[in-house]
Amino acid sequence: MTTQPLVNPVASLAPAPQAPPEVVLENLVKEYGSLRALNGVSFNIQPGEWIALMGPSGSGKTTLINILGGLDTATSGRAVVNAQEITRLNESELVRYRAEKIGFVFQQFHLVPYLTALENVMLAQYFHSVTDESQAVEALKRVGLADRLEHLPANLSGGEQQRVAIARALINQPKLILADEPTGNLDEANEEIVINIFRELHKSGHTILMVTHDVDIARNASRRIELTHGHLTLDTTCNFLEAPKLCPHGKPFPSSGCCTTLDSGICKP
Amino acid sequence: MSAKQNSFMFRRLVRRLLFANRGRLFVILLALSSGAAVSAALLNLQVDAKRRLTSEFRTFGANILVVSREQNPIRSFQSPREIIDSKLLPAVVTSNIASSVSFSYAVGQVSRENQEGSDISRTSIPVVIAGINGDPLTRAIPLNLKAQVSNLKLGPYETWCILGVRLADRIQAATETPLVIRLGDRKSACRVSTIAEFGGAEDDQLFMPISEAQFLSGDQGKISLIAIGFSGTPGQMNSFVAALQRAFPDAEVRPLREFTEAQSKIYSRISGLLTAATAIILVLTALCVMAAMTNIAAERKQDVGMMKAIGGSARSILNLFLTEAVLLGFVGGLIGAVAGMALSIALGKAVFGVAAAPRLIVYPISVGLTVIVAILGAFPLRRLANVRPATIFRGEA
Repeated sequence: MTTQPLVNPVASLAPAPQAPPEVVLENLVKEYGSLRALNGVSFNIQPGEWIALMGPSGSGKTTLINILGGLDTATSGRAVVNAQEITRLNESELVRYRAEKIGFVFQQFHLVPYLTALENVMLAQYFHSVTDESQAVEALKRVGLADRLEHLPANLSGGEQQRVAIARALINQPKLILADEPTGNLDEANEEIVINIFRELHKSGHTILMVTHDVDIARNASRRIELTHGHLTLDTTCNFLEAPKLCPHGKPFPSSGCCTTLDSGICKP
Repeated sequence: MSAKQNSFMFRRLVRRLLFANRGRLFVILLALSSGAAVSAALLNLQVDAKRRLTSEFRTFGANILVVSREQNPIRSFQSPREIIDSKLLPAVVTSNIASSVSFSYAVGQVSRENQEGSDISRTSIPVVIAGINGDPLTRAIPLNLKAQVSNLKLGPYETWCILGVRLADRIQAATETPLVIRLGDRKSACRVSTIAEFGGAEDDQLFMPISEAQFLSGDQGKISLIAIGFSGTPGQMNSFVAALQRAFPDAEVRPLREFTEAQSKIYSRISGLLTAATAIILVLTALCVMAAMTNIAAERKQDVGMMKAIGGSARSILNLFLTEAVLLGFVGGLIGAVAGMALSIALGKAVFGVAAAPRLIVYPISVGLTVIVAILGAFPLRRLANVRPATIFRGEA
């Protein structure tokens, strides 16, 4: 009987190798009837990492962040976030987990259409603990929407709506930001604004797991993970200009510092 | 402070939910208030029907007779009121006494009298004298004593008497005719206040105050018969009859059951019909509201998924939706209650020929039922709040 390693060798290449991983995924499986959306995915995420989660449609990216965000349950395997095994949480614990640990940013923004920008942000506060209007105003100011507080989503541009969604995701100071194609519905200008916000968040130490199909967006990430048919097929810290280098014995090449593993943590020499 | 802030946010959210779609708000309020109006009107009619039927039946006369046996005239009490005052009857049943009249019968002679007090008709006619201590023309007397009267006029110091129509014809008396009544060596005078047609043996009788009749017969305090108009259920009536029988052990207490039972049957049918109609209206209202709420649930699916994704519990989301439903039900119920009041008056006129009196108890019940209907109608929203967010986002909810 073989046991899967709890810690992916690549994870040990993260910026703070000595820090315990913020996220540990171990042999995660999700089945929808006969369809296996995730097929034994394992990897770790260190605090402060920005991971671009890529792969073709139907590869299991959204399923993965849904499970990590506590929106869905895994069929088997383990998912540990901040030392909390979310695959074992009951419904009410998942509610607290989503409110306190996770910030979601969706492609479709998912703002409540009959609430103003400010109220949409305060809604997250309301479900978390208590509302603080001045804090919500401050969050919207940080994403450049000081003059759009009382606007309904219908009166905001796509980029503005996504910035409201980001302000809402950040208002409760989550440990982990899960973004599912956050720029997928935005034009180039707004995409740049939103990505700049994510850059700022990354600089300030937020851990980001972002689903994207866009290579240019993925370049901003410190690490790229690719899924295909529910399998982890690439996990690299190399940027797109470099040819992926298979890491020798789980260590990065001294020249670039980047390293690539294939097939769920198997480091090929 | 924090709880205050959150309750402020809660109210803000509910307000936004309510006014998110004004067209739909109008439709839901219209459905709820229509249902509430009809149910309030029907409930009001149902409550009023009991009173209305009771009063209608009481116009037919008394439904309980206390009759003295041959050798045992009722001596102890002159009227049920005295029995009530003597605490022999339980207050719970005595409160249902609509009216009562005591009779003291005697047989004497009657003749017309001139202004100087001398007998001008020369011949006296034998007459049944019915002394009464209430108004014999009220609804308390038995069915066959129902009178058709007009112009009841009494001078302040005169003793009145009422003549049955045949008796009046025999002695050729009219209203205000002075009469002399004799029994043995006792004599009393009265002025005819009314000529009444009863359609029975009473048309040959003379009615006068009970004290005068008792004076003539020499039996002060004696009562031959008490006629009671009792309104209540058959059970209440039985209990009252039993209490009366205990109060008058030597008399015979006769309930005229066919009255009460007929009233009870009619009331049961009307009540059943109105209850069924109310229930159907409420179910239809609930279905209308549910149809609108299903639409809202479809619209709010993504919102609910998002609320849950950012940490909203099913309970907190449900609280928002149920508060919205309760408010809709309350406002719809209030509007409906006001409309129902007008409707019940119109329906009352159509059904009973008289406007139904608004019964205040009906309106809180109607508003309460409308709130329950609104909560039941919000079932699609309740179901949605329990769905996993990922299921909603996948479009499977």
